[in-house]
Amino acid sequence: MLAAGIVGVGRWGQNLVNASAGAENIEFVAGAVRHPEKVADYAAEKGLSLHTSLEAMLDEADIDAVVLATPHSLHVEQMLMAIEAGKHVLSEKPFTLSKADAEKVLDAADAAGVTVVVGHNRRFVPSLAELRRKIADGSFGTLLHVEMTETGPAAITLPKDSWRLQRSEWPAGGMTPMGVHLIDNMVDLFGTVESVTAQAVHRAVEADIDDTTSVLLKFSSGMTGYLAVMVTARPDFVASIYGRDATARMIGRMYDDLEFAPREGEPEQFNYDFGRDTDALTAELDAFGAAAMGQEAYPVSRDEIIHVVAVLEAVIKSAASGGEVKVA
Amino acid sequence: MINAGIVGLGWWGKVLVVSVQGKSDTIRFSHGSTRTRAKAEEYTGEQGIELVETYDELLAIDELDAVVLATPHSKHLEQIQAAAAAGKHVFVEKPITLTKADAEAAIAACRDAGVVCAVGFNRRFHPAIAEAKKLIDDGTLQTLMHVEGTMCAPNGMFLAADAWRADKNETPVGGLTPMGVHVIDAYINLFGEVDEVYCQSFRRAVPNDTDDTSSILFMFKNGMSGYMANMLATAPSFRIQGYGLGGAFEIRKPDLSSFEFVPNGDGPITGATGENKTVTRDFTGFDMVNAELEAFAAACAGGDAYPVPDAEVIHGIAVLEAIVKSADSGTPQKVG
Repeated sequence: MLAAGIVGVGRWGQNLVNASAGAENIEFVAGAVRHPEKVADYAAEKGLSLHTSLEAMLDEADIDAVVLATPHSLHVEQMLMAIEAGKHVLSEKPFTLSKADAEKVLDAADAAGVTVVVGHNRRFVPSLAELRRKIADGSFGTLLHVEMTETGPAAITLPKDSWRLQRSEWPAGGMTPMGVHLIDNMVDLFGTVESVTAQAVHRAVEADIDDTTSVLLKFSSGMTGYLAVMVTARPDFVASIYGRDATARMIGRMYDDLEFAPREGEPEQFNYDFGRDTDALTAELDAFGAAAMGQEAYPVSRDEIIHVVAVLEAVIKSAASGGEVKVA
Repeated sequence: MINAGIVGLGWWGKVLVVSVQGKSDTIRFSHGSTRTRAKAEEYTGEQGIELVETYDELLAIDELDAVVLATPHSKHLEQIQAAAAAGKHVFVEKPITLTKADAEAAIAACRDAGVVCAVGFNRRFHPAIAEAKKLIDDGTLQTLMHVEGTMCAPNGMFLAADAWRADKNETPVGGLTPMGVHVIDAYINLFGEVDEVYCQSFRRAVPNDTDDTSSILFMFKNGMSGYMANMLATAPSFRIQGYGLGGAFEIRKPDLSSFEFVPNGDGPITGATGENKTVTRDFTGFDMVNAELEAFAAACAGGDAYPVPDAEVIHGIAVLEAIVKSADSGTPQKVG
């Protein structure tokens, strides 16, 4: 059992702490937050000691690991600080905003002999496991193309002074809150991405951020892809996979409904009741704990962590410059 | 009753004939011409269509009011000009031509001759598209954000190597000319003109030299963005999903029969889905091909104008031309 401290006890940090109740490999014992008085009741209920900064928590609390639920731009500095203190780290996505930073952090982790991973919670949803099996056993035949679109209301529901609603934290609109999950799903299912072409536009949201982002991808395998994220609509998700011998469609916020349709024969339906913000987080925390204790490799490999950030970086570049950008 | 001659009696030519022959009060096919006569003789016999040897012979038949062209794209311009010169109304399969300059020339020839020039955008007539247009025009969708469209068929897997559709000069960017132009026409109808496109197009699985997997990004002049994909080596499917600040509509299934509109309602504010106000429609059984030919017949008879305006036809071809250029060059292209 890993003793962990959470950094950032906002909505998402609390999701993580709540999800740890069902986890076997990890337990939260401490929390770092700028204004402890705001979450004192919550911390007392969950048995967390509260500290006013990561630095203070590292000094004062007896922990093996740190979990980051903090603004994207702080991840690098906070991860390096935790690594320096000899702690394992699970960081919320995006891991970093540049490939160079991702490599720097993981090199430091290797040197310190600690486990540092990223919280791509959706890796753990059962519909993706089913798709992974179908792809591995060749059920799709030659893969042609994949599409994934996610919409959410964040740009309208977040408070106007939220750290998220600025171009520095949300470059290319919904790419960091949502799009990076779609990139991770695609890298997981279809391998590395060679190039991207992106367009991000500002249409309706009040804040000075892009709200509608669409991206074409070319995979190293030769197949192609498309992803889109919009931050001013009701929460929804739809994905389609097109192969020579079969197609699949996955819908629902939690990727809950999957239809696999072979070109000949009856379609197969899969329906899951699996919470992306609950069950998936429990699985993610357990996988992190198991990896940190040396029991089992974390399902997002070092190369994948770096590659997903490299794809994100290329999308941001392409959205700014227009035209195709090779993934570094 | 308009007397029409069918030109080209391949797979699609026969679909056009069957949609009206013996069923329509406004149009019938009395004559036809086709490249390989022997292949069509039995069929035309059954349908009561008299076959002639050449297109010129067909145009010389006095009692013919109109010709319907289901021929390779590259033949269209010349055939339209000849029909206009002979005073026949023209219904031409999409795409009318492969360049904007040719589209302008074809339409000008018909205008100068005072004959109707109608392009077979059968999906324009579909009530699902009309339903979407209503939601846009009455403001229900509010600010338009983005549109996605995907249209697929496995046809590329079964093409003979010498079929005209397997020739890259006839079908640049794989599924764009057989399928994509329908989606583009719907986009122009619903969202207006396109400013810029970017296309990537590859061959993945078909056993001939055509591309089978093409995907395109769009920027519209109104500021919204869009996407379209066409595949020729996978199961038949159709989907257009349009996103606005007020909600999203989705038209789905190869016959466009499934329509759904889910309003954001107070969704963006509360995260609620607004599902209680979801509108669904089932348009199973609508015959788009019959509708387009009857609209053509009405226009020929001096009734309502055919509902695809010339300017939109020409703009659609300019978009097609920009997409082909982008696929070749690998760079975004402004629409000419």
